[in-house]
Amino acid sequence: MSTTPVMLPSPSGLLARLGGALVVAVVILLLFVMPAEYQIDPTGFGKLTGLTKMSQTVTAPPAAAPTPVMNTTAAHTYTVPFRTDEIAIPLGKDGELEYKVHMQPGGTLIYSWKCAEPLYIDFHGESDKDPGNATSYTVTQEAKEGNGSLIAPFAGIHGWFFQNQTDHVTVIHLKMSGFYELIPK
Amino acid sequence: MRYARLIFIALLCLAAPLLAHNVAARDAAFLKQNQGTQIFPFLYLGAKHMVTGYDHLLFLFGVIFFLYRLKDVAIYVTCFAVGHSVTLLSGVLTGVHVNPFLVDALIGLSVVYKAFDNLDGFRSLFGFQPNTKLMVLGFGLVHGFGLATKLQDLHLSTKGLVGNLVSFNVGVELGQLIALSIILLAMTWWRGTSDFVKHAVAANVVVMMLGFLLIGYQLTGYYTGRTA
Repeated sequence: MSTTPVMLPSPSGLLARLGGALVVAVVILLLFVMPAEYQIDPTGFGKLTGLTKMSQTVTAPPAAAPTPVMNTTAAHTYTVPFRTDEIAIPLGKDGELEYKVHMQPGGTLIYSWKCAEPLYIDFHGESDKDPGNATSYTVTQEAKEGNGSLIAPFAGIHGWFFQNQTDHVTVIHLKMSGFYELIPK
Repeated sequence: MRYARLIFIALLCLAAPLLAHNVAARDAAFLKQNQGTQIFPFLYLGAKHMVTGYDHLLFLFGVIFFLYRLKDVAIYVTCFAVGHSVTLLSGVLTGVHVNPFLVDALIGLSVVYKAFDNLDGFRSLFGFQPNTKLMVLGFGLVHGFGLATKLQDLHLSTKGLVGNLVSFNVGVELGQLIALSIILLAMTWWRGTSDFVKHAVAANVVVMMLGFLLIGYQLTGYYTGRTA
């Protein structure tokens, strides 16, 4: 560093700058970063400025405009009866698989699945208009069962990416009911 | 003119956080649905990760801040590249999983370290100078663990993993070269002005501050267990 013509600060000046940098960092962290990124708002500044709203989880786009047969948001009606399916999905060791069904926007699906081994799951959908671009609804690092529902935010295929986290061959038992179509495989 | 330069630098600083640092969601979805060796996609992802990775870039910026000769730049950047390649490759292949928040906090510490070292802080406050090349190599190891956790979060298929991993690593180095060329261009231009001598200390203090901010950001995530 001796080749530089830059005047480096004295030890006391350096300490002051070190302290100053730390203080500024903490202030920015408390005022901006924590509210915006984690919804932690120790000063109230985040609420005042709307920063805390930024980190509310954006999992899926809000359910798109319902199809014409649906008039209210609480009660949904459909022109066809619901269907029910039970499916066994085998998974090899370290195996992974996508299981998806096709749904119209506003279509409802309720499901339960179980597996003897822990799985990594990404529940997601792909719009018919933009196949290949997945919208993730929930990601679970490790689970042996899952229960839930989905109101399809768009017309497209919706379902799960399952990945076996173990060296054992296993089977996923999936039960679904709702308004959807199976995709022929 | 002088203000134009400062504004340019400020804009660069502002732009960085706007770029998503994790492998973007769309890319992640692609990776999940594609199995087997995918050389170019992974090459691209590695490069993109580096070019948009403000923590890696801040550290690089600190490393080359006072390096005037291209030979020195090459030596230090090689130290950094060797360090992060070792942990990226071995981390993913052995499946060693380090907490991403803690790794990223350590990467923040590396930024603080380098800025502090640029200000000659070790000699000035503690009376000794750690070997700068070794330190860059050591922090390179930390940055590599950071890269490894980003890849591991994608739960890559074991099929074609080695090929994909090597592609990603090569991509990281390419991205680093691209980023480095831009930083070096800007630095050379800045050094040619009288501004540089006046603002060199302040610039390192700002980098140090950003390093502290990165540490705080990541530790908050670690303690709250929330993903940012």
